[in-house]
Amino acid sequence: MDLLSVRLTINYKDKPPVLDELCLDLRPGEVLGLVGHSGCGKSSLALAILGLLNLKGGKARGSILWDGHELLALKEKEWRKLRGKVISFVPQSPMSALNPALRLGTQMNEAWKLHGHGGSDHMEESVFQALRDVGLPPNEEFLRRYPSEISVGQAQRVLIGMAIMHRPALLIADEPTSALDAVTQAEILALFGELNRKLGMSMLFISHDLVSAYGLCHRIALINAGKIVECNTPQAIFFSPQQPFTKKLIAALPTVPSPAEVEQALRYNTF
Amino acid sequence: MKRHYLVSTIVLLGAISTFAQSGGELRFCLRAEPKTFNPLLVEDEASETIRYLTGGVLVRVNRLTLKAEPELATSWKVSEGGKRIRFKLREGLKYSDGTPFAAEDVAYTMQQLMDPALHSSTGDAFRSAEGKLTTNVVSAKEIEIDFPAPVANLVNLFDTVAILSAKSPQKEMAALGPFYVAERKAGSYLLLKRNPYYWKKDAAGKQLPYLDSIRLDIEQNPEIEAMRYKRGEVQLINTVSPAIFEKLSADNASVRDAGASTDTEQLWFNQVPGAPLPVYKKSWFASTNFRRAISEAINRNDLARIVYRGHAVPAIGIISPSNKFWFNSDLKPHAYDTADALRRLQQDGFHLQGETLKDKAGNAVEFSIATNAGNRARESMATMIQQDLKKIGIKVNVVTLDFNSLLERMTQSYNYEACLLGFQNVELDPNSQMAVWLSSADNHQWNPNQKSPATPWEAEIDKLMRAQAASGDEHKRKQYWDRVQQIAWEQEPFIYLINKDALVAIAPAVKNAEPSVFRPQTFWNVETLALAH
Amino acid sequence: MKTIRLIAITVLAVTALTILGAHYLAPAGYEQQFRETPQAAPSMHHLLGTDELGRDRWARLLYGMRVSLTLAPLAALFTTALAGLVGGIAGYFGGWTERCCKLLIDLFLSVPWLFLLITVRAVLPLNVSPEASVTVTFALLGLLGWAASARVICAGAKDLMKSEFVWMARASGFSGLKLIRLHLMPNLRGALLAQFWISIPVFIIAEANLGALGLGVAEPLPSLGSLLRELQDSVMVRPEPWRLLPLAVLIVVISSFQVLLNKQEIRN
Repeated sequence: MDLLSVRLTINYKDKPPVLDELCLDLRPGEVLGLVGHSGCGKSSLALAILGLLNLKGGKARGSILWDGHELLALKEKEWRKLRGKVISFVPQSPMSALNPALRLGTQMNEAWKLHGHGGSDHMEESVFQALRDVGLPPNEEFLRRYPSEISVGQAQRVLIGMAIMHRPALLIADEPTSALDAVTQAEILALFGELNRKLGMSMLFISHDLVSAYGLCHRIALINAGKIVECNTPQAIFFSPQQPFTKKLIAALPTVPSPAEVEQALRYNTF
Repeated sequence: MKRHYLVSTIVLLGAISTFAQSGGELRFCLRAEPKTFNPLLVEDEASETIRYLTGGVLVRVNRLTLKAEPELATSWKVSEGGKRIRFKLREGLKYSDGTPFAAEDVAYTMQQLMDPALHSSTGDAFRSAEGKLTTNVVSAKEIEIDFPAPVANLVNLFDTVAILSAKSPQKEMAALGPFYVAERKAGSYLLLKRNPYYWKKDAAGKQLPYLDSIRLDIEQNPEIEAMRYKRGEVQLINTVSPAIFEKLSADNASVRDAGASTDTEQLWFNQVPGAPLPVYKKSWFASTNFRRAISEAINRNDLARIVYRGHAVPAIGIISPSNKFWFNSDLKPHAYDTADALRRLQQDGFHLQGETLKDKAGNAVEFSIATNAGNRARESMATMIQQDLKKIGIKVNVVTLDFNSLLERMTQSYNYEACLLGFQNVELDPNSQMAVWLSSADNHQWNPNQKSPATPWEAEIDKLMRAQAASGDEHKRKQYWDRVQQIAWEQEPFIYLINKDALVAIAPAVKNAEPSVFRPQTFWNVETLALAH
Repeated sequence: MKTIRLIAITVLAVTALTILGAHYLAPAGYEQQFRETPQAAPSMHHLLGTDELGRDRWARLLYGMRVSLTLAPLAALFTTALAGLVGGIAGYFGGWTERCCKLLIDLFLSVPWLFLLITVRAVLPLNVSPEASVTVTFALLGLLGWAASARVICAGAKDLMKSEFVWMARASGFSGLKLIRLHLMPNLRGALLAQFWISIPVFIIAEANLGALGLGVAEPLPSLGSLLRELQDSVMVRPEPWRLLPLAVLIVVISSFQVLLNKQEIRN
């Protein structure tokens, strides 16, 4: 059974829809890449799944089935229980996604308090564990820092740490690497892969970059003009694309990796 | 303490021909835009200045001798016990636009002035009883005016009546005085030019005025006015505040203290029976002993010396000693005597308990003095009185209110305890104070609009006021007024504090100036003022 | 930066001590009139000379500081809290809540307060002590002064609501008061502090101007504002620099406040 099953039309105000009866299914433990041009409605989909679309003035029609339950029918209070606990989110630009006025420790503690239960010992342990999970130094000195005192890569790790703290069933990452340099990008992608394997959570990996999706995802869905054009394994997408849009995308890549390179990349989870 | 008294008048008069020089533009400031150019409707000071400079009047009160002098009229005669006046007019005069002047113009002016529809406050002074005024043009140079009832101080009142032209196409802008309004820019300045048809000549036969023009700049801020005076941009300041006077004199700018004016500053207690005050407070305020005790506890010398920096004199009563004819010279200055003040208070059952004065019933004596906000001298006086009265155990709260609120409390709600304000007494004849002293009058501030006099002394004042108004005999009127001043001195419904000095600034370049304590202090003899080149 | 902060702390500490010790430091009561020596220049007897009525300027400055520097910050605190509340609510909720708040703000900014204050004076009894009068005045200022600040805070809050980290916070499950407390307020701190310390001198001067309506401090009690008001008619004042001390005190104290309160901003 699918973990998430989406049939969605999204439009803003009276404008034409950005997603038009889009269909998408996600299986438990699967990493699904969602690739398309910027502005094709990928982010709107993420917002819709988090139930935040209406705040941006968008309207979602159709259905989002989570584990057989209809999310669109949820009340705000019920949404709140899902966000950050069951479905969590990693944003595009880590620096601006952290509150500049608060210490990292405060932000992580508060994120834990939202859904966590137990005393402060328990909280501390969870926060340190999250830091260890994302490869950050689990110590007080680091937690006392302000966002302006850490690097972009560290910031993204903090955000990922906060996102996985409550061991969510689904992690939505919206262009999580596009603000990073090549080396950091690779590290973060490797981290996602590792977390996926270690924690067994599903991921919706939203990107405009086909290559980074290739290494990470089990399946890749290509979006164009508000619809899924093609959805298949990375190998199938890269080496036997079916649709003209996909072909055009592949052809536009500077270098197409060979199947051997792909195998190696998948083994080490680096690209 | 500096006092710049006038050198002998005679010396100055003798100097007129010596300094007589034609030409030049005199400049000084108006504090506000004149509200009207119609001389009959003048109420504000700026309009009054324009009226004085441009209007031709039948008689002019000399501001030094205080005697009426012939102007458009060469002679006059009052008859019928003050009900009738007959003027002989100068011949061959013309308005500034060339329109000839005749007795019809006087008749026209008087009819206009007394027209109830015009609501002229200048006209109100002539209105002693109901009824119509009749004018009888005897000839082109003679006119007789009949009033329905005797008018006190009749001749001098004509000092304020500028004669309009009945025929001039320029209407009220046709001037019969030394200058006419030639140019004006709202909010900025007025330019007055010499009236080419002005009739007066100096002793040498030279046509007056000596000045070619007068430029009146509108300047609200007295500090800026003083700075401009210091820089030589303006040559006269009619009323200088004591602070500015000190500063100017420290900077060696020419300033003069012309002596005590007729303006008064006074404190009074609310004696309105229906006032929303506690009964015990009303009984304090109604007590003569209480009022006189307060008066005795105020150090008037300190008020004059500190608040006015010596440019004021302790006040004696209604009429300033500088108003020599009308002042009751038997009255002595009020004593500053806290011991006697306490004695008087004890007579009324007040007693000191520690440092607090309490009344018979044990109420601590505390009251507020209200004055208008923004008047530093009054605020300072109130603050000094606050300190003075603390010495006899009275707590005073000083409250400054915007003028409208204060007026509302004084005249509508009567919700105040004591008030400190001043009067500007423009006219010398005390008849102008009828509206203050009659117990039935609106301006009888301590207890206005009484149906019948609340106290025997108010009843006596009423009687005296009516008698003086109905009498044409100046000496009889003086006797009545002496008695009124005596009663006011004893009862102190107004606790008169000080008479301000008339402080003026006249640039040395202005020749023939003879500043007076009466308005318009510096330029009352404007036709003979000249500028040294 | 550290030296400046140290200086600021010293200034405020000295000010606080001076205010508390006014009674011991002043050579005479603020109301005592030395009538033989009005407008005296500084001397051993009168450190700053005397005013027009012969009152010791040093004593008046001490007590004036006590009145104004105690009440003005309190009123500023109150008004800033109100501004933060209304502006924060408007910015957080947006939509019709924001429209309502803005309407309220506009209403407060456009109401002719002069008439209202005159009414307040009319309702107050004439025999109020100077202390009560000045307290009421600062309370009124605190109650009425928030609208312009609220507008600034509202704009700031609205910008924050659109910011990435607030979205992120929402996506993590933050909402309502928790979102406001953790993510809005700390980031509005700078704006609120600015409103706070701007309000202090504004209130000090406004109190003096309300003297024209019979509100504010009444004679003989001095306030910094009423001491400053004495300077305003002095286009022609002879060089008497000691008379400018109240102004200097105000500037120094406010600057010190600013240095201390803005440490957060300096770091960022």
